[in-house]
Amino acid sequence: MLDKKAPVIIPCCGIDSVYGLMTQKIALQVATTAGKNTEILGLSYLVNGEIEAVQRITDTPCIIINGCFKECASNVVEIIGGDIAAEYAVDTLVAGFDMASLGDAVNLTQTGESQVGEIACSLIADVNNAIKGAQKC
Amino acid sequence: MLMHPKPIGLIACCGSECLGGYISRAVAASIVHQQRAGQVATISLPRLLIGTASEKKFSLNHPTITIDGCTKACARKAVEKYCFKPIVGVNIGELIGEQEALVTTEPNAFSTPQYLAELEKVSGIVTHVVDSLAAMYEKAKMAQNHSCDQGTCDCGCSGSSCECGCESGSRDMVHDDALHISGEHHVDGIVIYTKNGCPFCAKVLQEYKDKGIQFQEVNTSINVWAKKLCHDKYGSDKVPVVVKDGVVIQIGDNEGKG
Repeated sequence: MLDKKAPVIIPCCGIDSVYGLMTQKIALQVATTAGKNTEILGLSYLVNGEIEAVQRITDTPCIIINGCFKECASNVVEIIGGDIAAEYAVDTLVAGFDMASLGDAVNLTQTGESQVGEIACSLIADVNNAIKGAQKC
Repeated sequence: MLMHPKPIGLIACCGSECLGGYISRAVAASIVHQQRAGQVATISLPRLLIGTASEKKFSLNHPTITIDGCTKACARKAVEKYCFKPIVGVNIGELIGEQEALVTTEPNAFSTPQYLAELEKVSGIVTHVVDSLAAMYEKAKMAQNHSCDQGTCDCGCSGSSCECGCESGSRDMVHDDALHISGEHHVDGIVIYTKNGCPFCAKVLQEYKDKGIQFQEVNTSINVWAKKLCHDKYGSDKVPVVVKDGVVIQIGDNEGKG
C-alpha cells in the first residue's frame, strides 16, 4: 500500500492550544528531515473538498498528526476518502507533561521544543520504516 | 446596519505547506491569545466542516476576518462555502509578496530576522483591520443606543457632528460634508483615506509608520464626505488614497490593489 506514492503529512490546523503549535512544528521537522520521501499538505486545502486536493491524497498514504482529541485532521481525511497510513495525537504523546509547561498557542517553552524534537524523531522513524522497511531515525 | 452581538472572529488557513500559511497561524494566534485577548474569537478551520452546530455557525455569529497564506484562499473559500461570507479576507501573499509567501518553510526559519519582521508587519496590518472593524461595530452600537431628538443621547453631542452616530449629529454633518467636498477644508501634508477592515489600507498605513512619515488618516467609513471626496475630486472608488498637499500621489497599495 505504501509504495503507491510518497506519503503526505497532514497536520491539524490547531490554533486553540499549544498542541496545535506543536503539531505544526513536528510536521515541519518530519517533512524536512525525511526530505523527498514526504511532503506536507495543508489541512485547510482539504477542508474545501476541491478536486485538486482530493486527487492529491488519492492512493497516497497519509500520515496524520492531530493536536487533540477532536482529531480534526483524521476526520477530514476520512470524509474525503484518504488513505490513512498512520495517525498520531500530540496531546496523547505528551500525556505526562503539564500543558502550561509546554508553552501556549503562540510560543513553546524549552520543554515544548524538546518534546517536538523527540516526537518528530519518533515519527521520522515510523515514516522511514513505513517507506523503506526498518530504517531507523 | 448589521449588528453582531459577539466579538470579531479570526479564521486562519494555518496552511503548513508554505511560509504564508505559517505566518497566518502565528498572526492569528498572537492576536487572539495575546494582542487582543478576550476581544477576538477564533476557530480552527476544519470545525466549519466537522464541528458542532454552534461551531459551524461561527461566521454567522462573529463578523469574521479570514487570513490566507496564499492565493488558494482556502480559509475564505471554506467560510463562504460552509457558513456566512467573511467581512474581510486578508491574503498574506498580497502583503509580503506572492513568491515569498509560497516559500517552503524550514524549521529554523522561525527565528530569522526576516521571518520575525514579516510576522510583525502582517500582525500590525491584521490588528489594524481588527481594530477598525471593532470601531465600526462600536459606532453602530452607539448609533442604535443614542437619539438626540428624544433627549436620550448621553454622548454630549447636542446635535453637533461628534460622530456618535446619532441622528442629530448626522444631520448637522451634511453641511460640514459639503465644505469638505467643495474643497474648502484643505489639509496640508499627507492625508491617507482609508476604510474599515481594508487590509491594503492597513498595509499602507504601516509602511508610512515604519518610514516615520507624518500623515493624517481619514476613514471614509466614518466620514461620508471623505468617500465622496475620493470619488468626486480624486476619481477613485477604492482606498487607500494617499494625498499630498491636495494632490493624489497614490491610489491603492504599492501594487495598486485596494
